[in-house]
Amino acid sequence: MNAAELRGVSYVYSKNTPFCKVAVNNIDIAFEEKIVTGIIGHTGSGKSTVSQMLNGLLKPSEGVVLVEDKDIWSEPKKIRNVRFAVGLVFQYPEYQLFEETVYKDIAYGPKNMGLSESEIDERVRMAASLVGITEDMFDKSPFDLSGGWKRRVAIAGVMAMRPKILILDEPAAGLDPRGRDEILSRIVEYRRSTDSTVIMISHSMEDMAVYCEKILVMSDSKPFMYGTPAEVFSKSAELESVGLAVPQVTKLMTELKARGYHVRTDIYTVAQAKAEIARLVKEGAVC
Amino acid sequence: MLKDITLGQYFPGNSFLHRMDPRMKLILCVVYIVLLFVAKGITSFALIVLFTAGIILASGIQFRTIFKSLKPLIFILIFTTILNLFWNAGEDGTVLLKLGRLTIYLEGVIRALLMSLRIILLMAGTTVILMYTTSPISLTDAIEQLFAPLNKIKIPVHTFAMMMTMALRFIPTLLEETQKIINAQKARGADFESGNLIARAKALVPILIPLFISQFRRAEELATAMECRSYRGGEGRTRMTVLHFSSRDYIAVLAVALLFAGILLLNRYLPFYSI
Ligand SMILES: Nc1ncnc2c1ncn2[C@@H]1O[C@H](COP(=O)(O)OP(=O)(O)OP(=O)(O)O)[C@@H](O)[C@H]1O
Ligand SMILES: [Mg+2]
Repeated sequence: MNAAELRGVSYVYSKNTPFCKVAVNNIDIAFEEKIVTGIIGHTGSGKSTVSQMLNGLLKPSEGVVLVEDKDIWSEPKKIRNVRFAVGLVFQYPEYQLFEETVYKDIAYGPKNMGLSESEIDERVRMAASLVGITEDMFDKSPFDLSGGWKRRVAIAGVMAMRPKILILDEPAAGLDPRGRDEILSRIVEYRRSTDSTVIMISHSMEDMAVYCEKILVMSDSKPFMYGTPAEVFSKSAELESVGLAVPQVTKLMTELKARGYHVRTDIYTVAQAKAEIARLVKEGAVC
Repeated sequence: MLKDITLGQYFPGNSFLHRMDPRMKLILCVVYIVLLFVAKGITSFALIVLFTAGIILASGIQFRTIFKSLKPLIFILIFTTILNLFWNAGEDGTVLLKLGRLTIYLEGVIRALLMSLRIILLMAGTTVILMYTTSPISLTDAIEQLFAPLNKIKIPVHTFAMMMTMALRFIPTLLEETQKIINAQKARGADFESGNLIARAKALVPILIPLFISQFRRAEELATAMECRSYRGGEGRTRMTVLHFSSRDYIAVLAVALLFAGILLLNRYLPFYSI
């Protein structure tokens, strides 16, 4: 079963005005269940628009959005339930914080779901520990935290609703490499421990290669490629034609191959490259 | 969507109106408004309608867009129409209908129509001339230059103009940001539609707080950025785009002058049910 699916979906911003802009053009995409899917694409290719259609914030101009094989717009009055099932973390989510304390801010989502006090408490604690927020931070004001910690509070706020599908728009934008790795690995951890589906948007090929099981490449309002990281990154020429690049280690391996070394080129993480080069050295191909 | 509000929105373009000097547009716009109140009879109003249709065509703005911008006027229009409909034309009025103590005269009907027309033209004409075809920045530029003489009596015209430019510049940004925060809170299950008045007002808190915080941050950043570039106000500043009148502006002056003359003549010799 697919976690979510778009069928023949188009989205037009500011329809019937001179500013009319087709952001998504007649696309069919299926997001597989219980994996981390990454969406990449150059800026303006429609990634954020797709993510907002998946949880019913934007209603497609044409086509249907299916979540767990159900058309989410079949009952427009119940669209809030879709938003609980499909959690969306916006780009720079730290700007949405508003409560006096970290705890209250994380509890905002679950409270809106109408859960009981004890259930809310349990979920807040779970979400907080998933992103690495300790109990002594619960009573701090979220505005006194650093940018990276604010981001974690905001992400925890959505995780606490325990969505079956968690969508994150550039969760690591603007963080240092360590903060980035930490947040991304915690997102993967969320998926594993709750057995849910994660879709994340990113510009970083390196991050995608490490954390995603499937990658969807978007270009000019349409899907351009879909497959495992190995499949996607083996087509570097095509990726470059739409203004994207393969991870740097993949480039390195391609270059080595071009210079006559017998290495695999379907390598896209540093760890794989390390093993491959070690093998090469051991076999004595390099002097 | 918040962004679809068209009031005071600029449509980029390259038409005759777009390329006119904003100062001239501002002056002619004032003349146009005066004309609307000088006009008296059906004939002079017809002339203004023709003229307005002409400038709308010359601006390249779609009529549909203009009608949309008129929507907020609907209540004022209904109110005006009803009030004027029962206008008492006195002894020599033509009675159309008697409803008990109320009498509707033909003059009243015409008066109601012309009054509504005046409001519609006021809105349509000024938005096309000033709002839709003049970017807010060049509009404030024009205001600053037209009011420059006030500097002599120690009124900081430049400062006011700068404040206005900035306010105008950040309205779309503010709307966009509001929309973004609304969406983010909706994604967390915020509900703005149900509940009583108090519940709804409370639902706004999660939007207003992040919005205020980001606006204060923005204001501070903007001030720093301006100071970093040694901004010190209007004194001795030169301009990147120097405004000057061209033949286009003189043609426009001529057109408005002809309109003015036409209206005066029609008012005098062919008033036809004047109000
Ligand atoms: N609120 C809006 N009003 C009008 N046009 C919009 C709006 N939001 C996005 N667009 C346009 O729709 C297109 C797709 O935007 P979208 O935000 O989905 O791109 P994206 O792939 O997320 O880009 P980025 O990587 O920069 O975040 C862009 O061309 C953008 O200009
Ligand atoms: Mg985006």
